[in-house]
Amino acid sequence: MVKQAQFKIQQTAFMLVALTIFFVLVGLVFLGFQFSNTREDADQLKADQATLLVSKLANSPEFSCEQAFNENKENCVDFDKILVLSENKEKYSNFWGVSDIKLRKIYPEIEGEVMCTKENYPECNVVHFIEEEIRGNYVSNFVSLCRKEMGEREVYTKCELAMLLVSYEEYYEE
Amino acid sequence: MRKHDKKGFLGISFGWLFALIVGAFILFLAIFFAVQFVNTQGAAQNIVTSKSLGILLDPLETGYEQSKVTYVDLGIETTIENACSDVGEFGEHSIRTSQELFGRESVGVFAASFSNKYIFAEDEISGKEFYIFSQQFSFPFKVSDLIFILPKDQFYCFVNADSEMQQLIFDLGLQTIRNVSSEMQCRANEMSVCFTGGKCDIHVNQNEGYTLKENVRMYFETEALLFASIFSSTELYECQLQRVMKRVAHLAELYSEKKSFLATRECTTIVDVSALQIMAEDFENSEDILLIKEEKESVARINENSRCRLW
Repeated sequence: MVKQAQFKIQQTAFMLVALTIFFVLVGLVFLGFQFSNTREDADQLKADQATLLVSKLANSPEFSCEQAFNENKENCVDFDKILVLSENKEKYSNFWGVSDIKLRKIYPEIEGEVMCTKENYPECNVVHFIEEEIRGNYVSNFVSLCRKEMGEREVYTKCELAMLLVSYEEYYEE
Repeated sequence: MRKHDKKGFLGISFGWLFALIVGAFILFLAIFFAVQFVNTQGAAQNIVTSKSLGILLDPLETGYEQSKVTYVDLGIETTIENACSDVGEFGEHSIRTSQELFGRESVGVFAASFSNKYIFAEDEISGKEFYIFSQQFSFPFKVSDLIFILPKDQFYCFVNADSEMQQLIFDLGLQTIRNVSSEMQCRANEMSVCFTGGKCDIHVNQNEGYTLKENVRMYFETEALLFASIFSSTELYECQLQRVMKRVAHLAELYSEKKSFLATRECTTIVDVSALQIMAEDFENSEDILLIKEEKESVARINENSRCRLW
């Protein structure tokens, strides 16, 4: 009789422990699912931020032509200014809240990828602002790329076509 | 046969007692973790709202236009807290939102921080709907757009503002700001702003270039800073102005280097922004605007007349 009672107690105890473990596992699966939703939300926010930023970055004072070329130009990037800016990358590394900003001149075309420096300017086609090695997705926007150019007698404004690219990093599993 | 009918104190078997105790414990754990989960989700929602609000401010970057207005409806009662730090290269502005969840306020954390935005508002603003507008700030080159957040149910009454200010308010289309000719015409729920003396909550002295609010003077230069001094708390105004001046200093340095670079390409200019850079770096409080504004005007004039403009 006593043994039977003890057996029943053990039975109940094991059942309750098994039930608890089961519900803990269910809870973990649910939390894992929720976390992956949060991760997707975070990635979507980053994508939205990059998309909105790239549409307005050309009007940012560090990029914009303002009235340097004697007229107001919208979506105009000052090539002379951004070349100088690209040499001060460290100060602006976290400024815009994205992982990378890159400018690529697309017309006139230059073969390959030539990083702009003071030595090869303006015969180059890529300016990097934040990082050298990027892993992430890019969103882009077309801009006019203007600079001062020395003519035969005087300085004039020369404008070309470029693409501004903003990169955001998605959440990667370690 | 002898029956074992000896009854215990409670009249229930040990097995049932054990099951009741463990069951109650499991139920307690389940409720505890459910509440924790709801709180975590609430905090996560607040962080998402803060970050989303910051991202919504990106399109306010102006191009040709001087100002832009947008309207945000958050759907539920939200408290937005603003915090500013002028530490680092550009300082930082942080937003924390708290929203009502199941009838209780769920407080978020200062998770949404921005180095490239300058937001002027009271330290804590509440509401479901907000007006957000921006004004371009140039000093003398374009520095940034100053962003203002006003709850839709926070009303202002501008007393004897000049025609330029009245036109600006009209053009912005903000329904929460009224122009009147006397402070007697201001309603009880309106924050009164006097431009030519009188008894108001806020006094603006455009001749001497300061706004008096809570017995504190906030000096301004340009319309953008005038708005900032009216709509912002004094601490936030001073901090954001510090951050803005850091940006002025960095941009001045950028233009100095551009000047040297252009000289090598035979495009010379006599514009010298080094003094402006130094004054911006040494900027301590809004009163220093009185010292720096003359240098800014001088530099603007020289650049305007220069063959090879820097901006």
